[in-house]
Amino acid sequence: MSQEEQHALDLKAIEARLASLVPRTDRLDRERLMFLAGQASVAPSPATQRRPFGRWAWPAATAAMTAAAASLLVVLLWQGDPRIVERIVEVPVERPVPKDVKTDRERQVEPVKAESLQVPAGPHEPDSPPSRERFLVSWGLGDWRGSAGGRLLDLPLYPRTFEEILVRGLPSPEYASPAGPPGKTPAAVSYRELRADLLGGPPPEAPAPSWLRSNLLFHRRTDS
Amino acid sequence: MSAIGVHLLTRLLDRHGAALVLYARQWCDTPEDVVQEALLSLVRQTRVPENVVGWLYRVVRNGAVSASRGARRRKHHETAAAGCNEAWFEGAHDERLDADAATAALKGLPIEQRETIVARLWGGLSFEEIAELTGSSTSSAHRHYHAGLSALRERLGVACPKKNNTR
Repeated sequence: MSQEEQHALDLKAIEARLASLVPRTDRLDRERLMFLAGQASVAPSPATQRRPFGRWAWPAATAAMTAAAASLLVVLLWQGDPRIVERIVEVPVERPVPKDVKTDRERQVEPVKAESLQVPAGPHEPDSPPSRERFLVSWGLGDWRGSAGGRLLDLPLYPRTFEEILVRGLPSPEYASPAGPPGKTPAAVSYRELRADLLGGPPPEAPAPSWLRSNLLFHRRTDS
Repeated sequence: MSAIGVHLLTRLLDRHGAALVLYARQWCDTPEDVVQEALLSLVRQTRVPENVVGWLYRVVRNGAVSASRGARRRKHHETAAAGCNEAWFEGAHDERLDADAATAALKGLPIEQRETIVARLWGGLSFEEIAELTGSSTSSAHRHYHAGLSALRERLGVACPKKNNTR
């Protein structure tokens, strides 16, 4: 018998003798294991309890909310009192002047002559739009038309008496500016002079109406 | 019972319970708890594993290693196991082999050889199953097994009975 065969036989012998030993199982409680196995069999399986999204949804949402609240708190504490910065901002605003007025100014104008200030004979109804328009145009303030309808803007009428005074008083030649030498345009009459002449008394301290500026010279447009 | 019937569980416990306890004892000091938990895990399975015995050994092995790590005794397991006088086997039927001596000899083996011998001798696993269980090759399982048996034979002084009979 060779040495290898003898070694194999020895291994077989120790294998058989070791296999004859019985491991201890006295500490393995069989009854308790069966009881727990019965409990485990009726309990829901982990597969049915598995909720891949629902398991982490609320913790994740809670963590996100907590982080956001903490961030806002830190920002609030870090920011402190709001700083007020005062500064003056100059914004150039153009005075709203109708285009037609500018174009009227740009046109060749002729100073008012005494004769031309006479209102044509006929009924003058201040409230009627055509008459008012004609009146305003004759004073170089016409063509303030609204965007819609092409009519005069429904401007608040100046006091009716004043308008009537203007209308009825103008034909008097004594209110016309003195005629200049021939070939020279007559001097313009300012609103203040005209008002002082019409109403009497010292020149008014109050400013002229917005649509009649104090430094506006009254001219009559030459309608060809 | 869900997928594992009571008869199958009883049969597994009768046939492999003791070997599983001995197998788990190679790593931890509470092998009965590990085996019990492995059997309960088997009960909770909705499907019966193809190789129930192999599955049980794998679960027991993982549980025993986890228990050893959890108790922080993994590092000094050899020393702790050597100091423990708890017998691994019942009284030997073969008078020529003392159970305590066999326990001491087994404790002196490396863990790879020891678990291979336990799984092969008392668990009845094939070398392919042992290789799959330990994550090694079949030849490695063979080598560990024969090396362990040779070491045990030298330590226990067991000789071939035929050789003795010829004398």
